[in-house]
Amino acid sequence: MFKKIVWATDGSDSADKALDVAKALAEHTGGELVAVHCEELTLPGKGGGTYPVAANEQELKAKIRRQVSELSGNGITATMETTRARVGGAAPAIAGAASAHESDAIVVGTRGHTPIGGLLVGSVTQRLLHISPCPVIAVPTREHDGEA
Amino acid sequence: MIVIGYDGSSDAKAAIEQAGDLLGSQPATVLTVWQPFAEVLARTPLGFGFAPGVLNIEEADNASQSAAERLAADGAELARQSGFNAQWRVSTELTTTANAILDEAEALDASAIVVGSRGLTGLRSVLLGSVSHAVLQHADRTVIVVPSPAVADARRRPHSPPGNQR
Repeated sequence: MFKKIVWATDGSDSADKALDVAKALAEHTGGELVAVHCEELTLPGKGGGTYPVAANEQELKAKIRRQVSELSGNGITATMETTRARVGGAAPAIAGAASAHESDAIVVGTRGHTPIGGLLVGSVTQRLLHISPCPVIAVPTREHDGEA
Repeated sequence: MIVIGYDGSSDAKAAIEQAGDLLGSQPATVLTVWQPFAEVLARTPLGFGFAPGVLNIEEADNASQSAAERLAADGAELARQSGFNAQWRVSTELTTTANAILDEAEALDASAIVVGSRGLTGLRSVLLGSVSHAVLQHADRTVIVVPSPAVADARRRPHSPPGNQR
């Protein structure tokens, strides 16, 4: 059956690790890949203004766009979807996108941008496990040397 | 090689089927973890309070082991039906189920571990998905967590925003 794989990415190295797995899965199943990026926004200040939490948000988006067009160049049907959420709201936004796409799996890195030691799993990934409507494939940053 | 934690629950069955749907045709090991009776006793309020002779621990363990083997064999059969090139193993839980799964994954040099987001541990787990949580925290390889069908359906419902689900 036709598969839809969501690759949740924040533009980090950890997300890039997850991309390798998402790509392999899309190839294996002959399915489609949707890169879902959530732009987290700060809470509005006194002036009501709100800004991306990541100062390099534009660079991150450009990087993801590049990665998606590389996938398309490799013959994988890939699209990019950007969602927005208040800071801390990335996991529900990603789960919502997965629901909307009726995706078959979410592939995500276990770390994200904040590498606090090697043992802890990132909060977005952790939260996704509790709210994802489909299997979550959590890819560690230091991938074990095994066959994919 | 993919290691699939299997406890015979309907959630674990669903995890095998969904994983097969995504990863089918790969080699897989269905793993059932069982708890030696001494471990059970050590964790119950009764402690070792049973009168000698009332319980034959060796007999109980043999029964547990063969039950685990039957479960694992059933799981492997289901995995084959789901597309995997599957074998089965059983392992004893000396510390936690999660550790037993991680040890087997290490021994088999597995590329990924599949667990359902909710199953049963030796004494029915109180925590939702305590095993999958622990496996994810400690694994140095890819972990695939499959939500039970009932949970997945509830999470898809438009009237319950995912942010309100825990």
